[in-house]
Amino acid sequence: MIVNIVPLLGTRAKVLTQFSRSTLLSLLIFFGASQVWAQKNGSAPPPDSMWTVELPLMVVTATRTAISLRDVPVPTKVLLSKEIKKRGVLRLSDLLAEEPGMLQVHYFGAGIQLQGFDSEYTLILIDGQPVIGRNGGTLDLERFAVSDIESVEIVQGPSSSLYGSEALAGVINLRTRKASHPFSASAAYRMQTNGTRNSTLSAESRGSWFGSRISYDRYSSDGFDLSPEVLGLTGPGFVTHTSSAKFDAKLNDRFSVVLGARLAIQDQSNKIGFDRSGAQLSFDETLNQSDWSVTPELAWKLTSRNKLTLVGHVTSFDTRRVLSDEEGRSTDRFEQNYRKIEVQNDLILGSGLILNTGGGIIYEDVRADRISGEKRANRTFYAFSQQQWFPIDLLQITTSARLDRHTDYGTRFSPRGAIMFKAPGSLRVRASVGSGFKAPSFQQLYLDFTNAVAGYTVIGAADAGTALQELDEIGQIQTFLTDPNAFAEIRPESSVAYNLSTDFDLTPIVHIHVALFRNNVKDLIETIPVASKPNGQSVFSYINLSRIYTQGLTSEIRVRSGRSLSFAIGYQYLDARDRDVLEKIEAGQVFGRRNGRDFRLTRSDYGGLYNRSRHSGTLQIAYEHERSRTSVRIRGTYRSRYGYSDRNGNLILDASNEYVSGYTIWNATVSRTMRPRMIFRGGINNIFAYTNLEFVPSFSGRQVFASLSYSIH
Amino acid sequence: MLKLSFRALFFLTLSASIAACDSSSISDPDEDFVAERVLELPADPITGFAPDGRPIAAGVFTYFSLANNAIVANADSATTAWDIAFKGTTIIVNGGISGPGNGAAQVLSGLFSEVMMAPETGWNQDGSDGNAIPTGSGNGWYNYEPTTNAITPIPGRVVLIRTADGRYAKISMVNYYRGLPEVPDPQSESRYITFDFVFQPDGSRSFE
Repeated sequence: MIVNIVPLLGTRAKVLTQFSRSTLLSLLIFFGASQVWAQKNGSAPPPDSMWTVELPLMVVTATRTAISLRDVPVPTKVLLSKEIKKRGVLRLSDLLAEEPGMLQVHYFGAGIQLQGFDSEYTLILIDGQPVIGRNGGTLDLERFAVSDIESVEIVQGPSSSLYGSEALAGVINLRTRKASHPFSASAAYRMQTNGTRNSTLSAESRGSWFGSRISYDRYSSDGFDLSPEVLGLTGPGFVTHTSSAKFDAKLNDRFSVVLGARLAIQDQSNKIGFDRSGAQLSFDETLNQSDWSVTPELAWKLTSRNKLTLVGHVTSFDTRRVLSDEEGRSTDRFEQNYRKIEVQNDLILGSGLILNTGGGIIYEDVRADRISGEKRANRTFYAFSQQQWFPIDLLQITTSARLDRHTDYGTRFSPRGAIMFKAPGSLRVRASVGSGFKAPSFQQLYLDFTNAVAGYTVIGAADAGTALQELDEIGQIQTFLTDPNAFAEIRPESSVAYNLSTDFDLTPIVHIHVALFRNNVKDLIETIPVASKPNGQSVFSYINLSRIYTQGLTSEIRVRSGRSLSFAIGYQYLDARDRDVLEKIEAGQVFGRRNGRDFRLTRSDYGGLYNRSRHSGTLQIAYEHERSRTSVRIRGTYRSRYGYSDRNGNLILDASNEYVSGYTIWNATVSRTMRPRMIFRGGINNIFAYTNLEFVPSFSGRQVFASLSYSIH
Repeated sequence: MLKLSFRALFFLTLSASIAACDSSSISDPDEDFVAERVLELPADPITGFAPDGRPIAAGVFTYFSLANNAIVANADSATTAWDIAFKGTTIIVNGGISGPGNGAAQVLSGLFSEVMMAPETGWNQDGSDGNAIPTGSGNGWYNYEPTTNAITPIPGRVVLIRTADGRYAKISMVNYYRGLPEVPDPQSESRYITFDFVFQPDGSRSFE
């Protein structure tokens, strides 16, 4: 079920306005297990129109408190499990790729580009807690099975004022299921092209005060090969296991506890061949990756208007890549540990004000072969505060701010202000100004790496000063290209963002969502040569350098035709450019080359940042046939051409041979309820078998699948 | 007409060049200058591969006289007969620690055709702290793309040379590969440098 702002909520909202404001406010906060409550006590929604939701859908990510989707102050989108299942999507990466304004990008894994930001600028949460384990900046979204999630909430625009680092482009929160039936169990099996298999098992039980749910998901594939003449597979085979458990207990009227746990293990193996200038080398490559987390949470209702929540979050990520041949093996290991304790207070003040205040401590450490000292640790102290004002019925104002104090990069203050205008009908206008930031990565802070073959060295910014001095003392520096003292202070990358959006029903069956965004980003961290070595190679380090902006428009039109057919069209226009390049172009200092002749570039020659499509779009068609209990979902995604890499030596995107052609992917799924508890599902992903070995090797061609699921309760 | 004759000449010189270099005058009807083109000058080309796959080259410079538009024999490397020399991406001038001459260089940002005068100041000679024409990607005349290993001359970089005997020339680097590919492929033979230059024989700074 996809609900952005649900028009039929109107009826329910009228009921809600009959409550006193303070009752509404307590509902906002203490709706708690609203999903469950809604499903159990509300009138059951009619079967599966994309539109009909009788009860207010509650979201938690945008304000760190439960609030109705209609009343959320910043643009938020919710994908519900029922709709996710009907699409037959397995992994989070594939689910998000079908949403407007969200483009799947591949760089050390599948990430999501949001508001024109690379995937490292979007914070990923599971039940409100951060997920760790980024590789090359990307948190591989294929790690996350969607089989056991209740909903996915997507908040666009920065939320660093509540969540701190990484919440710069937006926040994606996976909400896992809580037990809701006295007893229920389900099993599903799926077969797919390339020997891809998925099996899931889950069981739950809920008593009067205690609930528990466990689930298991196994996802495996033989991999695929788009270039059989080259050694190794284009997409290697893998086996991924994901287990999760959730226990919740209501101890008495005041205390309740939740314990969540997750364990995911991925094993992958491949062969790689190198043609090193005529010499054929081949290696076996294995990748073993695991992550686990445990999250206890205690909630204490001090009064009916005052609630205290204490959360602990312990999580670890471990990845090991081994390259081996007859002569030996080399291991590259990375291990990250994250421990957090946090407290949050939610207080309703009589005069139409909700106050959310909290703070915590994060301990992080990392062990890796390429990290200086092999193990490094750091700490963050933080505090945040949010005020949700409801001055008049038409208006809602939300202000928030967060202070992060980190041992390596100092103090960071992130405010945000949001205002929402609620017209009596369906019209909503939301405007916000906020700042976001992203802390320097472990690599940017602590890397210590010398390429044995090429002879260059890369040093993390936290150690650059002392490391350069040491290199100089042993005669490994020929010339300093930059003052080594300039590396003492590395700052987080930061942004100021402006978001303006509106939602309204054009007619009873046509709903419109239009959003404008602008992000001014500064202090982007780049690698630069800081010294030259006697062997002619360079020493590189990281420095706050570039300024960019991203701006654009995202829109979505949803149409419901009758009870059985509905569709949604999404479109995004994106303009993302480097501001320093623009300034140099204005000054006539940037040149291109055409037909072997140099010329001065103009603004219109500049294509902006790489890997950004100016136009992208989505189409979703949903059809429900009640009598045969069959549903059909057809989804298409399009992205226009985008820059791949520089070809003419000026390092910026300007020549037509620097682009990858645009493409369209179509997926279709049919579901049929065979018997009351048995569902058959079949479909085709990438129907027209789009592949692009050179530039988009992640697409394996057409994928056909069939699955059967059975449940008892 | 000019373009056609240039093209014919280009193919003639290409077929005539046997691991050596040739040059030709080029002119463009749109722009008011005449430059000499040095085509595929071997700059220490790769001769083979070591067992571990690393390329092997002789490690010697190819010396060139801008005044005579000709390669100078290695035997004359300690004389002032040459002005610049090439080895891979490295370019040295006949001055400082590289040679006995009065040679110097500087790299300007701009269009080749717009550089009408050699500057009075800003000249560097090769020294222990680096060459007058800096090495390394982005520092001097080229950019290196690590994913494709391509060396591409930076558009809008003009290399200005003071020759061994103190006269001036301007150089536009054109290509680093045989066959002058716009985008080299892994099979392209590297270390064959093509460049355009204008030499002012009368000793003045003017290139007009």
